[in-house]
Order: sequence, then C-alpha cells, then structure tokens
Amino acid sequence: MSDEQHTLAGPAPMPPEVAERFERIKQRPVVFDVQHLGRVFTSPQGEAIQAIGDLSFQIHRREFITVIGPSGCGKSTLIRIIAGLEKATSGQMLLDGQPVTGPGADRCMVFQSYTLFPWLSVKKNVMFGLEQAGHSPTGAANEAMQWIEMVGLGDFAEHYPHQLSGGMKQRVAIARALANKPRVLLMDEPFGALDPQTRCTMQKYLLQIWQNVDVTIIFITHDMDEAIYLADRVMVLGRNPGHLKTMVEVPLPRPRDPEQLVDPLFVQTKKYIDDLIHPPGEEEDKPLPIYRMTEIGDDVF
Amino acid sequence: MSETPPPQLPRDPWFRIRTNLSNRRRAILMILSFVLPIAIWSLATYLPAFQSEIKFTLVAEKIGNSAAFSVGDRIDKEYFSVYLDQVREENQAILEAREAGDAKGSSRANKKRLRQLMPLAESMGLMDGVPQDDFAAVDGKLFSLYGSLAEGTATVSNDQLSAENLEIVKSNWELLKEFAPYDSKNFIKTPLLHLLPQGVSSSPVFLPPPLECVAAAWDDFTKEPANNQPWMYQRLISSLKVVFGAFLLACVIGIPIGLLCGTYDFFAKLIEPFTDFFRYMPAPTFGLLLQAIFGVAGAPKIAMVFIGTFPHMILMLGNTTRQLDRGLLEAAQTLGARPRALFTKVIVPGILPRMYNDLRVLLGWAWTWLVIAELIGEKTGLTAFIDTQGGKYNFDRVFPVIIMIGIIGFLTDQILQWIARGLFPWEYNTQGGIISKIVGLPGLLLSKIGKKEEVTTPAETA
Repeated sequence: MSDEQHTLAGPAPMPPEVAERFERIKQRPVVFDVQHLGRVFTSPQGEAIQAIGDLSFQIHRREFITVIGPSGCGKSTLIRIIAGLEKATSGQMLLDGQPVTGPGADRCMVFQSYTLFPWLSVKKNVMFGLEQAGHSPTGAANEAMQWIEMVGLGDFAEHYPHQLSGGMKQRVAIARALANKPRVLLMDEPFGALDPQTRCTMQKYLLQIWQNVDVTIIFITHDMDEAIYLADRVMVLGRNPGHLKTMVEVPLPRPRDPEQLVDPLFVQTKKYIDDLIHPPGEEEDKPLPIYRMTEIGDDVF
Repeated sequence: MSETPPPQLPRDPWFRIRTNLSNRRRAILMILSFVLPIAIWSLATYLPAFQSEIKFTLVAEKIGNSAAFSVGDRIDKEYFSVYLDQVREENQAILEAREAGDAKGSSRANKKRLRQLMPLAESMGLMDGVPQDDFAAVDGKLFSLYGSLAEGTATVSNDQLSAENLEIVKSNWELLKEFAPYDSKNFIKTPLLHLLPQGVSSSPVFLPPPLECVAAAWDDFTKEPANNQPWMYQRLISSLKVVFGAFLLACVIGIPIGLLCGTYDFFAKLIEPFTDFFRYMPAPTFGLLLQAIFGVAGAPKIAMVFIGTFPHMILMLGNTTRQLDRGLLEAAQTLGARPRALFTKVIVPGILPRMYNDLRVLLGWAWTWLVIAELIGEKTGLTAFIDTQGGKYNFDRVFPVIIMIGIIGFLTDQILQWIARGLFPWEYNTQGGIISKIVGLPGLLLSKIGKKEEVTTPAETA
C-alpha cells in the first residue's frame, strides 16, 4: 500500500439542522477564552522542553468540548493548567472575561482516579466544596443530597467510597464537582478506568446531567468514539510541542444515542480525526519478525 | 438407581505460594506459633538429653585445685565426675594417713564436714526454729542427724543421700559416736571422710525450666519483697511512666513537626537532614550526658526514651504525610479549598490511619529504649529488678519479667490495631463497628442537633 493510493478523509458533511445549532452556539457568550497558552518544562538535565506551544481557543457557554490527541500531546498538561494545578509559562486564560491563574471552585475537576476523600461518606464528600464556599452545614447537607439524588445514589449517601463500585465513585465525583456550580467542569479521562459497559452508562448519565445543568464541559479522552459521541466540538491536539490541529464540529444531531455510533457521519468523522492524529505514513506498520511455529490451523489468517 | 457419591475433592495442600489457608488452619497455626516455642523451651529444660549440667544438692568443701561450690550451683556433667573422683581420692588419702598414724586434722575442719548435711537437715525440717548464727545448736542438730542416719533410725531416699554417702556417714559415725553427746569444745580431731558431692541433672543456668520460672514469678509478683524493695506492680507502673511519658512527649512535639515536614518542603529541608544524621547517633551514648543535665531521677530516663523515638517520629511522619495521594490535594484545590483547609481538612484526616500505624510502631521502639533508660542514674522499675537478679544469675526470676514486658507490648499493639479497625473503616475495608460508634458519638450527637435545625429552617423561610 503506497501513500498515493491512501486518500485522506475530509470532514463529514454537516446536516443543515446541526449547522443551525452551531450557529446558535456561536451566539452564546464566550465562557472560557484561552489565548496563546504555552508551557515550558525544564528537564532534570536543565534542557527546556516545550510541552505546549501556542494554544488558543474559545468555548461558548454550555458547550461540550472533548480533547483528543496522541500520547504526549500535552492534553493532561492543558487541563491541569486550566484547573490552575500547573502554571502556564506564556499566554493567558479568561473565564467570563476575567483572567484566572490559580485553582478555584469555578473550574472543578473530575479525575480518572476518582480522588474521593476516603475518610468521608458520600454525603460529606459532596458537601466538601460547599463547606469551603462557606455554606452552613445544614445548607450544604441539603444541597449535597440533591446532587447525590441526581446521580442516583440517594441510598448510598452514608456509604464510604471504598464500599462503592468504580462507576458509582465517579458519579459521586461528578456530583461533588457540580455541587460547587462551576462555570467549567474539567474531566481528565474520567471514564478511563471503567469497564466498557459502565463507561457507556456513564456517558449516558453525563449527557443527561449536562442537558439539565448550566455547565460547560472540557473532557479529555483517548477514546475516539467517546470523544465524538459526547462532544459538540472535538479539539484535536498534535504533539512536539502540543498544539491545536483542528476543532472538529461533530455533525451529529442531539440528543445523542448509541445508535449513532454506526451512523455514516459518525464513521466518517472518526476516520477524519483518525487521519489527523495518525497521518498515514507517519508510522509504518512493519510486520513483526514472527516465523511459523505451527503446522495446523491453516484457517487462521 | 443408586445415587453416585459426590466426587471427592482433593484436600487443599498446606503449602501453596501466596494463597491464604482456611480460617481453621490459620487458627491452628497461630496457636502453634506460641505453643511451639514453649514446647521447645520445655524440651530443652526437661529432657535429660539436653540437661548438660549438675545442680548441687550436697557439696564437698574445697578439694585440691577445685573451686568451692555451694548448694544450687551448677557445673558441667563431665566436670562433676572429675570432681567426684577428686573427693574419693582425698578420702582414700585420709584413710591411708589414718592407717599410717600421721593423720592431721582439726575439730574445725571436721565441723565443716559435719555441715555438709545442712541442706539435708533443712529439707527434713530439722533446722526449723534453730537460729542460724547459733553454731553450737546447729552443729548439735547435725550431730544427732548423723547418728540417727548411721544407726538407721532416720531414713532418707537415695536422692537425698546416696548409698555410698550413707556408708561414709556410718564409717564417720564409728569415730564420732565416741564424742556423743555433742560438745563444741570437745570435738574429734582425727580427720573425718568427706561426703561425696551429690546433685541433680539440670538444664544450664541460663535456661531455667518453665515451671521454675512460674514459681519464681508467683513469689516475685504476689509476695511482699524483702528489704523495702518496691512491689512488682510498683516497678511496672514506674516503667510505664517512663515509656508513656517519653512517648507522649515525643508525640506532642514530633507530630506537628512531622506534619509540617511532610507538608512544606521548607521544613522538610530545614529539619530532616539533621534529624536523619542525629538518629544514627545511638541514644544510649547520651546516658551520662542526660544524667549530668537532668540528674539521676526520672527525667533523664524519659529524655533517653524521647531521644530514641523522637527523630524517627519526625522522619516517619514526614514521609507518611508526603505519601498522601497528591490527587486528593488537587481535587480539594479545584473544589475551592484554601491552604489552611488543605492542611486541616485533607492532609490531617488523610494521613490519620497511617500516622496512627506509625505511632503504634514507634511505641514499640519506646519499649526497647526503656531498659537502657532505666539503667541511667538510679536504677528503677523493671530493669532494676532484671539487672539485680540477672547479676545473681537468678534467671528464673528474670525471665518472667522479660516475658511480662513482651506480653504488655504485644497486647497493647493488638488492642491498638483492633481499635484502628474501628476508627478507620475505610483503611481496613471494614464496616466500622462499636469503636467507631463510641468515637463518633460526639459527631453523631452534633448531627442530631443539626437535624433539628433542619426542621426549623424551612419554616422560617416559608
């Protein structure tokens, strides 16, 4: 197979009703504005390593953005900078027009490793941010219970995290983050540690929650299906240094349904993004140096 | 059709790599782990094959080059027979000298030989009520015992007096009876024969048999000690004061410093390098220095245990604090926690179970320093007893005290672990239980009060 024969997939055509929706989204105010963001690490040998180059993008209110890219493209660094857990070395971020630097409850984060406080019950975990914001214990408890009910864990409010399954833990983490009413919900591969079925259910839950809550979501994943299925726009990052390749507008109508995973538009979008991330010819698929060690099973190819 | 019997499952093997045994087998092994050492101890002390020494019940006076022994001393079995032969030779020499007519003896030496029967007389109860310093009365009693033994009016077992010794008693009595009744002023001068040393097979002095230890422990723990010495429980309390006093002091100072070191790199780099160096200087070497600073009473002992535990506490707690999942701190930050709340609401509760565990281990260390600490200045507590009795080779009295320290340490540790399971259910994957309920009681009451407020709040808003 030569490079000439491989045609790069283009973006899938946008159905008119979806295009209209994107027009409407663009009318919404910009919640989060990233301008010329850059991050330089210093290696232990003293070399300067550019992790993120010059990254700029804008996110409108209640948009669902997923971030995807090859490993080493700096997607985790990006979300940590947005959360304020790491400092950018250049550029700035504006939240509702105001520059932000350190961490804050307006940009809550859900981590892949759950990060629930193991010594607190589910309820107390969800109350944590509310108490930090100065809510009274009773007020915080009431509010926390609403969020716990909302993620369907009302019966588990007094349980400790170690008594919950992975999916339940992540629902608590989402409830804990949303209870602070953040402007932006940051999710760093939140479903990466879950089994495929739970992951599917969690995606469904997340979309339901997002529909009903005034929150903008930035969601990092390495799963292309997940990225397209959830997102309004998929942010495709490239590496060395991390940079924005394209913002892909997903041409699928909402509400989303697992049926859409086999929709031709979905498949073409996936092909398009795949070619962006792994340009043909960049990595040659060399066959492994395996010699024949069996004499039966000639039906196996 | 007859039912086929269920297939016989193969018995689980006892040895499987990294596989837990059934609870029943585990229980058996856990009991064995205590029974086996006691069994080995018993075998080594009660089996004749291992009893390499002879414990004297009857001794001859100093013969030739041999050292003088007293009743209760132990010597090697091989040497015992050499010693026995020396005494026989000596007796032979006495007989030959008497034959030749140039036997030189003294009444003083003969009285000593008479007193060889002292332990026997004591065991027969003949010495009850006889003042020990009234030699004439004591020797008189022994003299009459000699007579009754020789004439067969008093009978003793072979263990108390061997047949060979009885013959010697009889042969001595042939000469002695001329001097009856006993008069200390007028006593036989012709040398009497030595009684042969007698003894029982016994374990080495450093390994007293369990029952001897139990008997000694019963005396030491329940009877009022002589010479105004403190009771054993008073010694124990004194030792506990040193251990726990020093440990609590180390906690009060060490926990905050350890937490600060684990939280702020500033304190870690400022404090930990020197502490790391300091802990390699052996605490016992500061003994005399501490005595010079704090005197000879309790203070230098507490200071010694403190020096032994405190540096380790800082380093262990600092390390434990640093091991707290960074993700928890990051999550708390994105939930709006400020540095103060990060410390009090995340770091402290987050490391609590491991800190508890560290302190439990450190308490064990405090016990190990105790013995050295109590030797500083005035010897006190359990160590003074161990040191004194050990110096006298009374290991049957030393062992029970050492074992008691072990039991106290072990039980404290087990109880603390059990409490931990109640306190930190998330760490041990348990459901909590009675202890967490007791400990959580104040919180529970508070939440009840909180619920009452809850009822009133909607009414107010409405």
